[in-house]
Amino acid sequence: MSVPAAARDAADRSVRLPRNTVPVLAVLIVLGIWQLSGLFLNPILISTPAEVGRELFWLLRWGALELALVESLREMLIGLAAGLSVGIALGVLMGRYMTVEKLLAPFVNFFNATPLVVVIPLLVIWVGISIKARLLFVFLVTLWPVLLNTLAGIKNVQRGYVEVGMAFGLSESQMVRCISIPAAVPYILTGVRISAGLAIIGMIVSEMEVSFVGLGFLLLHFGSAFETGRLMAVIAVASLFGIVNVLAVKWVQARFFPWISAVAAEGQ
Amino acid sequence: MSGAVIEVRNVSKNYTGRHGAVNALAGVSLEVRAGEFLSLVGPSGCGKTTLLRIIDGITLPSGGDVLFEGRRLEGVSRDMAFVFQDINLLPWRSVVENVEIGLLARGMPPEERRRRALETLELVGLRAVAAAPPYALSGGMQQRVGVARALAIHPKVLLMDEPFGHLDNFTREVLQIEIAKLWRRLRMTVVFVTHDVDEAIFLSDRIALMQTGPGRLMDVLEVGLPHPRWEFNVRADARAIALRESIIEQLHVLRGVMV
Amino acid sequence: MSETSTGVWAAPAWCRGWAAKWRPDEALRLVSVLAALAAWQASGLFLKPIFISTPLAVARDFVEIGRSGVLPRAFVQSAFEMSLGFTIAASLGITLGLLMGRIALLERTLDPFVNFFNATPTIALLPLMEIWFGIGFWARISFIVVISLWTMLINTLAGVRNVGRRYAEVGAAFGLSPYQATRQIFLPAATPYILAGARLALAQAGVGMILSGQEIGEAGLGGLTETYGSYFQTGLLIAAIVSSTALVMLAFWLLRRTQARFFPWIAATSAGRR
Repeated sequence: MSVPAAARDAADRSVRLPRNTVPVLAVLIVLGIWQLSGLFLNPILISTPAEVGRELFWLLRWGALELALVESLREMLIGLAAGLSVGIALGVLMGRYMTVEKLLAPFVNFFNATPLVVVIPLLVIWVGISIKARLLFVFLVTLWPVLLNTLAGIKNVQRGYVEVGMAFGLSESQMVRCISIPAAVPYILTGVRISAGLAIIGMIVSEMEVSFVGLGFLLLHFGSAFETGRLMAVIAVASLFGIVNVLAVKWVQARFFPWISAVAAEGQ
Repeated sequence: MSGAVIEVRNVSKNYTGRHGAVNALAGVSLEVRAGEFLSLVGPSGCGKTTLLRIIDGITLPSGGDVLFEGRRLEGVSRDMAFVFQDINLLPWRSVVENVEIGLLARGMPPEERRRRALETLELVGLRAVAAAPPYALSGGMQQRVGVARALAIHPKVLLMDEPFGHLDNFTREVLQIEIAKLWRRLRMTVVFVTHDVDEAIFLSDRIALMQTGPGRLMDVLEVGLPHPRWEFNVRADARAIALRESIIEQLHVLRGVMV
Repeated sequence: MSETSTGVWAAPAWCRGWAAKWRPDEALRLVSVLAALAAWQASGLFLKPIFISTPLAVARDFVEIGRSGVLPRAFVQSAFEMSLGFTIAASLGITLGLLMGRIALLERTLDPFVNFFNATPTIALLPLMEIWFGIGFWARISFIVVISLWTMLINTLAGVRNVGRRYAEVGAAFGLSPYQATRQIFLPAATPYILAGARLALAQAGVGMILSGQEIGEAGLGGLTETYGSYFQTGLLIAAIVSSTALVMLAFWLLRRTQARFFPWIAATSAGRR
């Protein structure tokens, strides 16, 4: 059992400082130490927060970052959208129909165990050094997590929910639409979060390896030029992508599927 | 009020579990009369829930068959509705949407579906929370929704599987009275599974006693108390007490208990 | 539930023993793999070999680079780098996760950083590893560490938080010292989470192994794919790809064996967090 958040907050405040004091302080202290380290260390090694901030600002003014972002985001979102649609659809089919699952399982297992960066050279041979190769790669890396999570979700639907559908005579398609898919949403959302995280990774890797554009190119470029400040500024932007992804999925769950946390709290 | 609406003929059920075959039901025959309130009573493992599920068609029998109004049942019956012990309201649907689920399966148009669901919620006194999510409701209210979900399809027979098993005593007594009232008002047939002898006596016209190892039917008793029973103290009634004694005697509930 | 859905497969007498092992669903699996291989082989009649090669050609290439020692050397190098990186990441992750789970102040202090790195596509740190460690072995190892560390840490922490604290009162009631409680209660309680995290972290270490091989001085299997890809040697390339999958599958298999051998009470399918 957990104490209601409001009560816990109140209790905390009465004894000591607000809840976020420690983490905020910790972040400030680390940034401070990092900044001070600039006085002793070669800036090529680790740069400083102020320097990174300046470089970020410079990148924005220079316009290269915006260009890179537009390029990166476009391929990432298209590839991700394709990966999610195919992954969810296949996951539902495999979860509902044993035959489909048995037929596809060996391939799913194979690709899921393959560190997919390994197939980039093959993709390049297939479609050439182009946005197609990058799209295909993002699609390929995002497909599996969402597929496997959807599959797990569909197969783990609480027996009681399925029995309600059976007892009230839902048709096969109603069963899928009204019971299986909604019940699998918590799993699917986790899959989406993991896949979206991989889409960012896929985007960066494919830009590093296939055609030198976007964030991946900036990373490689500043890395090989030992411009550590700018390199870290680009890393910060990549992190921002990742953080936005995590927050976005959280928001979607809280906004559109409030029952997930309600049911989870009940179960404890 | 006569004539069998459901005929259970020599139904048996074997499961193949991890520890070999389990004989859950061995040759049960039973008639359910139109309009009666029949309870299946017995200790856990006697197959009462299995029998109820076979009557509804959610579970298939290994042998024997079930006739509904003289016709052999194939699959889940559309004229019977099931109330689950675990309720199993779908958390992603609002209360009224949960009540609509059976109507959805019958292809009713959306407006009519909504109207009928609200009507049914009115019947169980929950119209006010129609738009709420089910997890915001108390256990007793959730089971009222479970009953409304079953009643919404206007079933000829209501099958209830220990519907009050997870509720506290106070809520349970309130719901027992509500179910008795609904049964009298709607004049439907109810088959009710419970292991609570008092509950069975309070609600039923007849009580079917079942026993374990293998699950089988022992006897069917007429309760014979007048309706409505919420108007007098059934538990203190001499006939009820005698009936209770004989049921407990028959089920050997006390055998082997150290006194 | 208990209704058995596996139909009876009428097998002739001569293959009853065989049939006892091969249930129909496994046969289906085999058929689908064989069909895919056959289609791939047949595609060789229409497509240029540079495009996708054929299973037979890939097998020939396999034998060739296997005999010459190129593939075994790369495989061993990759396996070594992956296991070293993973071992470091696992030791660091489990230790930090336990410490954070046991020391509230440490948890609050490190939480923002852990969340930051867990959300960060750590792949972006690859050039930084090159700057710090040079273009060589240690850059590759540190990249594998930095890519798989966070999953290990987060799962250990989740185990301590979700399960360990439920049993914490037992330890307190029986007067265990903090160290004893950590050793006897929290670590075992977190083990299912740690193992689930290990599976995810192994997959990440696999990506790190290949990517660092491709990008940091062409090493191991990653280096092979880079080379064969740039010379359009598709058969050899696919042989290297399949070897990479085999290496990661081998790692998964070792993990499963470890789990079955030492932690038989943990369900093999528990899902990790990342």
